[in-house]
Amino acid sequence: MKLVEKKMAWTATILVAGLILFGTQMARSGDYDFTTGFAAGITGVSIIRLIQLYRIIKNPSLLKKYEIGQKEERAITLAEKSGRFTLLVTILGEFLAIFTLILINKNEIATIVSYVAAIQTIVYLVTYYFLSQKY
Amino acid sequence: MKNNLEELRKLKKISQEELAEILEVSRQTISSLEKGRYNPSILLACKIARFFNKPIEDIFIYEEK
Repeated sequence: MKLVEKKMAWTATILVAGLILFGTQMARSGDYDFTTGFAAGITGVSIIRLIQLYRIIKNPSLLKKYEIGQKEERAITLAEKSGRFTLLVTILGEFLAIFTLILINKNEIATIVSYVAAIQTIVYLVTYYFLSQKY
Repeated sequence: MKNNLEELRKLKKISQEELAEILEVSRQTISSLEKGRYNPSILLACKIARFFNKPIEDIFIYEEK
């Protein structure tokens, strides 16, 4: 399966999930709320993305450029560096949020943020361990 | 790491876009390589060396800091 076809399959899956979420929430509450808005958002973005990918797949020169852009090493390096920076900023932000929340006596929210930070740290460490075994 | 990619490309009379297409990378990658802002992987360095028919060390010059 080509890279663009895989992306289309993933986008279509997200589209279906968005439609299901929208349908079930509308059936349950019968009104527009945060969940239906969220579902409509991911559905809309998925539709636009599918149209873009369809245009790419139908144009051989665009397809070649797209595949090079997705696979080339500099783009991968940049994505990895951005990902590392994002993780660092996110974890630092979470720790800052935990301390702030404790100081203003919002202990329940602080606990939830602590769990999120802990899970992220564990995922990072486990991934690092498995990658160090592989490479 | 310095390189003389730009010189070699100009000697061959090809544009960054054409070289990028041959090496299956983006034009921005060629531009970054030429400016010395990005160091290629061994794989890309081999592809470049093979294309210009030169040893890697004739294209990329390693400088100890």
